[in-house]
Amino acid sequence: MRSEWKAVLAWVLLLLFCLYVVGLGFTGTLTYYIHPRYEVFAVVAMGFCLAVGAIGLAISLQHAIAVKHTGKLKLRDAWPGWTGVLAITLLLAGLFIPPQTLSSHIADQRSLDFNTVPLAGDTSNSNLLFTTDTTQLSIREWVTALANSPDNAAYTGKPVKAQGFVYVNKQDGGEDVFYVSRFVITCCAVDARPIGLPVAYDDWRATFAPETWVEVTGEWVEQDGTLVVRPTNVVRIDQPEDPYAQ
Amino acid sequence: MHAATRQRFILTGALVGGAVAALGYLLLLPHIQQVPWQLPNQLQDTLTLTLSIIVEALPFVVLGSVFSAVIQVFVSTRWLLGHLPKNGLSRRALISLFGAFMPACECGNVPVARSLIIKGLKPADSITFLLAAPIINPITITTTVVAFQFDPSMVWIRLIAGFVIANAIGALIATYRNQKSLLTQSFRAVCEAPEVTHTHRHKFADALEVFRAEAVLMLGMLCFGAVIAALSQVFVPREILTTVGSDPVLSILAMSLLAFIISICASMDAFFALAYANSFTFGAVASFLVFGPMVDIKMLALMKTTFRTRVLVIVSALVALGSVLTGLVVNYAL
Repeated sequence: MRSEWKAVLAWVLLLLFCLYVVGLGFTGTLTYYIHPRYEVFAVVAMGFCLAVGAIGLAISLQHAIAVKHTGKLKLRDAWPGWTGVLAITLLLAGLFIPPQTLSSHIADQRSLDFNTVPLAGDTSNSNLLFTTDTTQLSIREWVTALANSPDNAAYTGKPVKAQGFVYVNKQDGGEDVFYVSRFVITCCAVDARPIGLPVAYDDWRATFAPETWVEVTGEWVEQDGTLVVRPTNVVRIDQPEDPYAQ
Repeated sequence: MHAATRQRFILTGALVGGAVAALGYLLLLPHIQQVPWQLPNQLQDTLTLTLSIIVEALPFVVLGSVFSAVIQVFVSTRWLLGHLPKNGLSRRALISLFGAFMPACECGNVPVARSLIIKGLKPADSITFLLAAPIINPITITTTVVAFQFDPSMVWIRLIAGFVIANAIGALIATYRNQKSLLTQSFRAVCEAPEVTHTHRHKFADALEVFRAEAVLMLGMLCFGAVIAALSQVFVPREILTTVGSDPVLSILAMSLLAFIISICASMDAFFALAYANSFTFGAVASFLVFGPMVDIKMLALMKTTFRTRVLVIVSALVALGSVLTGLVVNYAL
């Protein structure tokens, strides 16, 4: 195919990818894929690329239309190569299949990573247990605090309010305990690790399917030597806009 | 109708039509996203992971392509080559520091490296740049300092190991007499093509063309690398990797393999690695932080646009060797 038209198609592909990312930002689903700290940069870079791409497309298109063609334009010359086909497939999938968060299959697959969070994070978290309204603590803050200072007595009775999806931790979940969980991501979904708090809820399967998003209100109690959350209320909620813990 | 007028009409129509379609897509998007498409879990996860790598890396690829276009069109070859040291070792040492100006995600560095080779830089020197730039980089250094406040030695281990490995490999590759044979045929053709500045009347149009060529090429390879990384994530259980955490040798191998598969950006990998600090040896974490920024699935896919497979295999093997050695030194000697 004439190189002028190939250039036009290349610009279109680039522009559509930019449109895809901008679309994610527009509908607030960019955080399904990347950490919020990258959001602004991603949208700005894609916006810039859209502007540059539009100009580039205009110039290439003008050039392609203006050039006198000898011989027919053959469709098979438009073959973009196998990576091109892959790129187009992914683009179409991205544009038209609704974004999803990671499923519990990934959590299972990373079950040995469950509740691994940086130990050397905020040690002032353990002080939070005694001073603030602990219902404001996120799952991540609880998990970090528990990892840093695992003294059961310090937690017993402290109120908890957590939003996450219902997850059965293969390591130690069961009939009467589920984990209210989230994924923690560093850069993008590919490095996601699951974290969660154990919730003692008899026969929870009768009420909630795994992967349902819930809000758990309750308090920490000691059960058979381990801490679990004894819930006073568990309600189904919509998946929040920020599904990954930070 | 006059030919020129008709052309202008078609052009305007196409552009306006495109803009309207794009706007229409954005407005319809919330509805498209409500449609209950449900792919099987593993396929959906693979798609989510693939797209996450692409979405993460694409802005950096754009940035790198902008740099590349600027270097190719606006920087004089004479100036660039004239100001570099003639001695190979000191030249590569200086080039290792170029990371200070480059986008921290290593994917953005490949278009830049390509443009430097086109400008006359030796392929061996550009390999040193590609390996060193993600580590010797203010953003990467900052995040490593912040993440490893409890043991700042990690910052130095990473910098020194990264510098030494990048320069050692560069020096080795530089011994190849025929540097051009290290490049892919298609890239050699690009290098040998006449200077871009003679194609258009305006440098800006030239820069646009370079930008497009680089960005689209990288995009294709990024998609390829992302799919491979995602598939290995979904189908290789972490258990295989994490059951060897405390062994001083196996932990290093496991973390190096993880670094390769996970293809995480160098700017933030310190925070990711930190979470393994309590279950893996310090040497294993060090080898992760050295191996990851240099070579991973995503980077190999991008570098394949420029270097021959044989070269990439050698470089990958040497980087693996270097980072494993780093880990062993840390575990046994420090």
